[in-house]
Amino acid sequence: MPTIIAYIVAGLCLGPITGLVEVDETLELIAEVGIALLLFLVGLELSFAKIRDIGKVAIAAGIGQVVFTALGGFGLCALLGFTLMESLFLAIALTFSSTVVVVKLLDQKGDLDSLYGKIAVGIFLVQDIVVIVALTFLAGLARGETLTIQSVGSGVGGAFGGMAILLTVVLIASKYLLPRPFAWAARSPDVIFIWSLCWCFLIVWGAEWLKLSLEIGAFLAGISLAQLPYSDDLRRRVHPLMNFFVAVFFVTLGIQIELGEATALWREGIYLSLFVLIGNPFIFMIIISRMGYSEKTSFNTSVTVAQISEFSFIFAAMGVASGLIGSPILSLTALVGLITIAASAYMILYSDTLYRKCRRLGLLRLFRARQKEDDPSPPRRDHIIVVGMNSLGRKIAQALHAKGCQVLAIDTDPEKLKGLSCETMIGNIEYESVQDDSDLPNARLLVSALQIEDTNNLLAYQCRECNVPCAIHGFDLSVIDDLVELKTDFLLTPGIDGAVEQLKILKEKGFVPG
Amino acid sequence: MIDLALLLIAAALAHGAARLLRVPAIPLLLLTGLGLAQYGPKLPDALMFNTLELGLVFLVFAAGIELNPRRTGNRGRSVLIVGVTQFTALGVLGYLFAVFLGYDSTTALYLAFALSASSTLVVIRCLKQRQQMFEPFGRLVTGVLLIQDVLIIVGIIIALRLPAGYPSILEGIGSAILLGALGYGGHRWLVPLLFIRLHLEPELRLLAILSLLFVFTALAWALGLPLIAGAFVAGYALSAFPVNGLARGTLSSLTDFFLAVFFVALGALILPPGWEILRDAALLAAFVVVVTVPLVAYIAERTGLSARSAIESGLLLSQTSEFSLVIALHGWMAGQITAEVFSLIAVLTVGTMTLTPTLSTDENTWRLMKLHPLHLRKHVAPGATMRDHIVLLGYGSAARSIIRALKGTNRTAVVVDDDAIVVRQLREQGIPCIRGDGSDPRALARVHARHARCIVASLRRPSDADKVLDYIANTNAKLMIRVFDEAQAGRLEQRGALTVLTTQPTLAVFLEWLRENGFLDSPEPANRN
Repeated sequence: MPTIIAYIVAGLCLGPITGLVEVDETLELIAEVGIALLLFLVGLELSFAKIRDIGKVAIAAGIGQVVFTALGGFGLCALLGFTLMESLFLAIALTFSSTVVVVKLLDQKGDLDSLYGKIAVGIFLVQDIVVIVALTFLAGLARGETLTIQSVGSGVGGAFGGMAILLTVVLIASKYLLPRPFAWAARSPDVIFIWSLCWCFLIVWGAEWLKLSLEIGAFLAGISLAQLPYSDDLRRRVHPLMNFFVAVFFVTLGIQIELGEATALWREGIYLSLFVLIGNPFIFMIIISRMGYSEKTSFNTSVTVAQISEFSFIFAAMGVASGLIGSPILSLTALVGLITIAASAYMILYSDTLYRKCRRLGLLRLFRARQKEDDPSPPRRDHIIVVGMNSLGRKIAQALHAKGCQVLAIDTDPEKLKGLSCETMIGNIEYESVQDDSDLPNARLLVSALQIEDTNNLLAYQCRECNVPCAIHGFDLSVIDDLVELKTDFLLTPGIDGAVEQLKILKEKGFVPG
Repeated sequence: MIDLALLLIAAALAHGAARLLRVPAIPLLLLTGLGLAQYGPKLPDALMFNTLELGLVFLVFAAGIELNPRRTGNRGRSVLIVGVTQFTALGVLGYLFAVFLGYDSTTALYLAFALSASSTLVVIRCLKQRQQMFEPFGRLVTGVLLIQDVLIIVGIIIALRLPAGYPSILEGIGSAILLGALGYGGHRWLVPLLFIRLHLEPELRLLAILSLLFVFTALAWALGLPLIAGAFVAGYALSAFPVNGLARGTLSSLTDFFLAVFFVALGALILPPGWEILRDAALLAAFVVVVTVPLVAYIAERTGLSARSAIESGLLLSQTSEFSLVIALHGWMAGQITAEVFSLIAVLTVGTMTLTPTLSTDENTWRLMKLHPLHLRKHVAPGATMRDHIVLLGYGSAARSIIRALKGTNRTAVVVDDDAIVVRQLREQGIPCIRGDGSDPRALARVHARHARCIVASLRRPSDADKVLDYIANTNAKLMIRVFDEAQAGRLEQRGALTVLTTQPTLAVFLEWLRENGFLDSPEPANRN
């Protein structure tokens, strides 16, 4: 089961079902931090070049989907017998997909960096801009203001103006302000970690001040750091922190779901859910496949939009609070949210299986998309991982690379990786994400030149679990027993080898009779 | 979000300054927190309270995870003796000193507890930076810190229940034992099942770890114990290898984040210190240093450590701990000590932590060595002046092979080693030797190093070679030393030493092994042996 569903169910149990927990300011803050970190992580994955690649399709698909779903949703709601205002609110609620849910699922699948993952993220960020406009529009409606072209224009202008300012600040910082201080900080992993978080929340603060969403602020903060060589290491460090906070977000989402009057509208809930689950992916398939992407990429991107957003609950709640709609509509929105988030979570996680099934059934033929796949980046195989670029590690990495081996050198200090001709990675090998990114299970051998007992023992253990041979630095007699017990394949013992060499030299020089 | 941004700005400034000044980050985090409270906007109480609570729980949890007796190697007995003695002696003497300074008995008790523990975070960081974790004194110090962590948790439980009397204290200790037993059960059965047998994905593993943490804190709450007792026991449950490594990797960034904001938030609670607080903090800091160093050095040497290592241990342990802040915070929130006393303990901790890297240097160690009773005694060189002999500094595998090669020849070798057992064994074999530190000029004088043909150094620290080179400067004696680092080898060669770069023969041996096992020849690896 996707963890998101488990979190939401837990929230339902804690909130609507048992009433044990109410969402207070602290939980809200933790949830917001989770969202910010999630989008920060997304930004760290991307770079300006990658965004340029998917910008066109993101804008086209994002706007296309908003228009279709809004119009289609409005029409469907009218057919189902809802009033004009109810149809309007429901249509808007159905329009937006959940950035947080999708990014979390893509992260869980390890597909954030895939082409379809990047397109999906781009689309959601376009939607975020539209959300800001819609919120402005609805806030005006709720206040009972007369909406004029000037007021709508001012709201839209404000949103775009704010975006432009923030983007400019982030671009300038990324090019001129951040590189040198972060290069200095990078030699100390905890300093660069705290600095990056500080930067993230500074930009989020700026985004809020410019009346933009915190998602946009966090995303831009992440992008500005994605240009730096340490962005992968930062991403791995931020990841567990994000997992913690975002779990709270999903639980609070479950706590806040009000299903009260949804039972009376269960039929309408199913129809609207099906509209989102099938209609949204359908229109996306058309748009993205027309833009030249492969059938698989188009399909995988399309299934990511098959749910409504947490913003939908906010819209509906605003409508109820201002008396424009009744509480049954809020409950209906919650029901649709629950169904679509749950179903789309499975669709996204098992999109490859779903794709194969749809293909077999011939359902995708009508889109006439390109068959050749877009993403040909295979994982590493049969490489040698060398951890710890001290004197020994560097020598080993360079010697193996000179002999034609595929070598991946890892160290937490970027300075120590400079000048190496093999592939390098900045990271702490104790992190599972670093082990995953280095494709440890596929490695031919792992060599640790580190002089850190705990890490070496852990590596020996992990290698045994993955059935990967390992050579570990036995830098002191006191560490050797444990390494032998952990069935290390080879012990690097400079102390002993050096002693043998030393005796040889002593004999050569006549200090010791030879 | 602005409030969190402010905490992170303060934390970022502190970390940056710590890196620039090469001092521990904790004191600077406290200071930036103090600065934020004085000059920044007022942060919401709810945020500060929750930050403190979560930060405290994570701090203690992380300490519990490191509670792995394997770290001490075979020094368990020494660790127990030094740890308990240091804690108790400093506590008792600290209590008396605090009373002498005019504090009431409850405040003096809290000050005593604050004085008796050293900082795990600062000391471990120092040891890691200097790559001394695996040295005998490094293992001793690590073990002592772990013992102190346990004792201070017990101390917090006792101190908080003091006003309620002895029955309450006994009940608290009973509850702590029960909680500890549950923790042991988790350590032995539940945690291996969850983390080793089940092979959880990273996200689920994180959730399992955090669930364990929050279950134990809930249990502590249910048993009327402070939450940190539950957090510590939860950490202990995860402390066995390999789980502790997996947990560390999973939790590292959470711990870094929460500790950073915790210490900033804690700093925001400190009152700006007045003259009296600064005076008392300076006196208490001097007390910590003056008492800890000789006390630890004496006990450590009695348990078998060399004089130098014992003094190094004392210097490294001469500061108060983050747990001192924890106990002070609890005392203040319970109304048992005043805000001024809390600030006093915070200033004391800031000061002693900041001083630690400056105090615990080689130069200071050698200055104190000169005051050591062994050094104050006149030494007599063994017999007539030796010439053209070989001096072996440190008796390890290198010295053993050299002595074997010299058997039956007319060349003499004399060994200098600081381990009493090694010296006794050598004497039983009839090998000339003295007990001493190989970089100590007095020891070098005793073995007539200036007249030696060659001095073969197997010193733990290559930097000690400089002392030997200084001693034999302008003589014909040659120093040969095995060195791991190329830059260091170059530097020593420029000073006239003969160096053996150990990485080179190791690389050759390793490449040979790779060749024999097919790692270099074919894409498919050979089978594991």
